[in-house]
Amino acid sequence: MTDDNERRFEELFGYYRRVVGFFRHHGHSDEDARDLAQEVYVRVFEHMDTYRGEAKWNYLEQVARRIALNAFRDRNAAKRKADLVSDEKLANVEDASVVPADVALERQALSHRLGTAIEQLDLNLRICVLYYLQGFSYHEIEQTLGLSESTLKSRLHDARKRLKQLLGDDLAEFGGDS
Amino acid sequence: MISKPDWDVAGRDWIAAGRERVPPPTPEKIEALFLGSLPQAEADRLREQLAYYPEMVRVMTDPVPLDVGADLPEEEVAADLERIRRQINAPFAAAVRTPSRRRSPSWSFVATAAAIALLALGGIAVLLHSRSESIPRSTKILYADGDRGGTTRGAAGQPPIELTAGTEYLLKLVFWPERPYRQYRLELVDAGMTPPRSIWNRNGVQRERDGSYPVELAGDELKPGRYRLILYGVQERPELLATYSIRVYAK
Repeated sequence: MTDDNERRFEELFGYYRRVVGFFRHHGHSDEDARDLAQEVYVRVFEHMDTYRGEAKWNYLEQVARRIALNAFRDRNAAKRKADLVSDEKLANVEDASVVPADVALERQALSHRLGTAIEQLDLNLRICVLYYLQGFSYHEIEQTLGLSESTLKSRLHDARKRLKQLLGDDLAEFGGDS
Repeated sequence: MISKPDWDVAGRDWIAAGRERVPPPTPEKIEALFLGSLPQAEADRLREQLAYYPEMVRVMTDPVPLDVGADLPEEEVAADLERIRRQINAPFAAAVRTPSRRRSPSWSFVATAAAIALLALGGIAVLLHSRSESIPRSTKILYADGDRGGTTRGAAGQPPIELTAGTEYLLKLVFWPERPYRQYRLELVDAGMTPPRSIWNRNGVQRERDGSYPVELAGDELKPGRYRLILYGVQERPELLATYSIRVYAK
């Protein structure tokens, strides 16, 4: 490493705790957060020749985001694989905590009914409903979708109206503010 | 009447089931979405896809409090720095050497050792050379993948360009941006890795008068597999312009 790169690398390392904090904030354990933070700095080192020494935290955050997204994809893929194994195991297991079949079936039917109705919404409305169901705040949805508050409220209003048409009176309370 | 909590549970169940059929988007696509560089239709599709993965959305949008890592003890920070240094010291110090140095006889041994070390680490050393530094043996014209709607010129659905390992190429990436950019940037992604991983990038790529972006590729450093070259236009921030699929075959 050249002296110049060494100096810039050390300046960036001054943000190490904050990078660890970034991963903690996004739900990683302390140990995982440190591993991922180290990956950030290895990646930074690999690209040190292209880094011009400006906007240090923005640069690190950009790298950390990329690594966090990749880590999420890895974790998601591993979970899906594990779920498949679990399904096989569960086929032969009796567990008192398992939801009774009739309740599970009823819940599944309701979910399917709601999902089918949501899929019939126009794309703009459907996206808003999906984010709403995920528990995003209005502010988060506005930020993510690039919508104004009034546009978002209007779309959710239209979506509720349309879902009510599709689902009938059962939807009276769904997604309502009251 | 079905209660609101029951509907909420039904909604969450439906979204959870959705994750089984909708895969998480790639980081490259997500970054392009948040940079505003995707065509509207693609951006909408991606937003819908992302709705199933709120964790990924929050990685892009959540401001991180300043003090969340402040309690990490000094000795652990020092230990982590040591681990990082161990990872990057020898092999990467050699890998970042400029291509011209690699080509001089006095550096050939170092470059070979670096390449072996990188391969041993599962990495790939990709060396791009300025046109004056080597004579390419084969010229290939690359058209954009055609998977980016109206912003990508070139034939839609282009199959990957086929290269042979061990051969030097002059790649001419063809793309006409809707407006000129201050500079252009290229990134090479190993598409065979899960997830795909960036293995090289270069700023300051020049655009020729014929609309191409010439870049020389030392195929002897690429192992057989699938890759993507990604072209960015840089004004204030990089904007994804086009991607080019490459398949490298063994000699």
